[in-house]
Amino acid sequence: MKIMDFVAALSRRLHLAATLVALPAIAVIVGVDVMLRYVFNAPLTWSFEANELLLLVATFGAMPYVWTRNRHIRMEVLYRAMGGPARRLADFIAALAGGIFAVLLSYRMAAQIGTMIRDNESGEYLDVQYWPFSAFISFIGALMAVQFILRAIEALFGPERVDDDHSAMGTE
Amino acid sequence: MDPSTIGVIGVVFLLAFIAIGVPIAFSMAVVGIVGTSIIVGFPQTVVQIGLNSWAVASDFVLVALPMFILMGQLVFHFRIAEDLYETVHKWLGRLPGGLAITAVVSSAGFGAVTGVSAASVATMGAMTMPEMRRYNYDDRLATGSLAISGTLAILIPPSVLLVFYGIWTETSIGRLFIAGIVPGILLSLSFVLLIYIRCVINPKLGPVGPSYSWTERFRSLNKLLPVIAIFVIVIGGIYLGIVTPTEASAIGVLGVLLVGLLMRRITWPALRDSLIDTGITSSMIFMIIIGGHIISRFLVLTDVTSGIVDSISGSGLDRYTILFLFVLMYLVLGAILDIWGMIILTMPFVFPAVMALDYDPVWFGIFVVLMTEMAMVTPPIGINVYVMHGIAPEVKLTDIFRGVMPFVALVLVFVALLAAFPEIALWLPSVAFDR
Repeated sequence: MKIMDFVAALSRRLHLAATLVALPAIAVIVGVDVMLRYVFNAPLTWSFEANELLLLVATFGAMPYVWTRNRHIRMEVLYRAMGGPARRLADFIAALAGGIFAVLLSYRMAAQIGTMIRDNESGEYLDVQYWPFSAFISFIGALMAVQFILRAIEALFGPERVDDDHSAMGTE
Repeated sequence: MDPSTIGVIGVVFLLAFIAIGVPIAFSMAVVGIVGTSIIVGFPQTVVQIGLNSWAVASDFVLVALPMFILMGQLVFHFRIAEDLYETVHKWLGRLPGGLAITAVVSSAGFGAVTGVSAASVATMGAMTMPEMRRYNYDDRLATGSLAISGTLAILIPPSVLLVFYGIWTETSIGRLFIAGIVPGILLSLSFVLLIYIRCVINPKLGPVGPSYSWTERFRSLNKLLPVIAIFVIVIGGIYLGIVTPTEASAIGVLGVLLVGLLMRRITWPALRDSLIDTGITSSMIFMIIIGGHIISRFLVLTDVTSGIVDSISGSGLDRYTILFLFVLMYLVLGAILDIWGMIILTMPFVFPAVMALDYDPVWFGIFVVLMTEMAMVTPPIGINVYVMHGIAPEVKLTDIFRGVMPFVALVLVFVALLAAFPEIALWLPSVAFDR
């Protein structure tokens, strides 16, 4: 239970840090860029790349928390009608499906870090190395993988879950 | 095993996973991963996962999604809709069914500054329902008109759903936005007319509301300024080609913040909640897009998509019959899936088929949004009905569902008109972009 709570708390903090910083930054950078383009005919050359990286951070930063809050879109008509064992199996398959994606994402992003450093991969106009972002996504993938593993264990051996539980990862 | 058989098996597994409640994003991702691994090998599949995820989550065009969602959240939390409602109420509240008509017109106006439907129902419902109670409105008319009015937000630009459709089908988001204006206005007027006629025939359904002096009415007009200003900045900017839809979304966020600042409504909880909700909703949608990309690649490799397109276009049925079948399909899907699920699952098959039948992609975008509008108010999913029930728990769910049915019938008639006269959607974009 302690691990579940820790992972839930970590996912919440990551989400807060990512969205509270990245989303306002995107709005400001685009706004300033448009203004500079029309008023001074001098757009920010790096705004495109900066926004793309900020979007990356906001998107992946929030991903574990989406699972924590059970906000992924799913069809619930049959699921709600299922009895205990069938529902456990459905939960296990859901965790397995998410887990496969998360593990492979984490692995792939970690695997390319070396190449990114060696090739000095960075933005064309924005002098920022890409490998830390790859490492960040790899970490997010790993965190999601832990979430899915815990969920799979809970589905097989844990107590039965109630219908309107909006927290898939224990208490927040 | 040949690729097409693998594709068919993949689709069967996909539907089975979705049916048992596996999140749609992960259902698509895992079927796509396993299927692609079988066809092209595991190492290449893993590389694809990395490339796809990075490309989707760092696509500048997709910045529009979180920004339009944030814009809607800020409008909701800054209570801009309340001013809108107050003004419209002073002008239209005196008509038969005036409160319900006010709700429709205010929701249409709310839709012009936000693209989120449930927020519209929650806002308008909370404001209008107590007053409808006071004037003894018929429960079904009251809740039904509020639930359906919320759907206007996803048709009238800026619409998050149209952004999603545009990205997914590579259709111009600017054109889609402009295409949504005329249908949005016409549908709003149809709802108004339906309420008015019903209340004239049976005044007990919606008694007339309070009357206001002309001075009060004109004085209230200044409260419309924030909504008009935001709409003009965002949609006017796109229409005139000053900004791209992606830029307009961020400018819209800054515009709403400026309005909030001038109205002294910016609070830390409002900002924080808006950002938190935006982050969650956006990330959830991005995960669907990533999963959708993975399975789309798998389906392309297996030729399942082209097989379905060939069988539809070679069926011998005329394009209107096929469109009618799509309407039926969306009505059924709307009963079991939510709007995102409906779009993401059908687009890989339906969009190419529709293109093969020579329908316009912009027109089809409006058609799909109308279909999802119905899904939002029809049982058993009908999210807007559940939001409405949360606001008016004393009204039975079945009564709310019955209350929206006349409006759903109207939307169906509108879909037929849209099929017969595509210019309803396509005229304004052609004026704006084909000059």
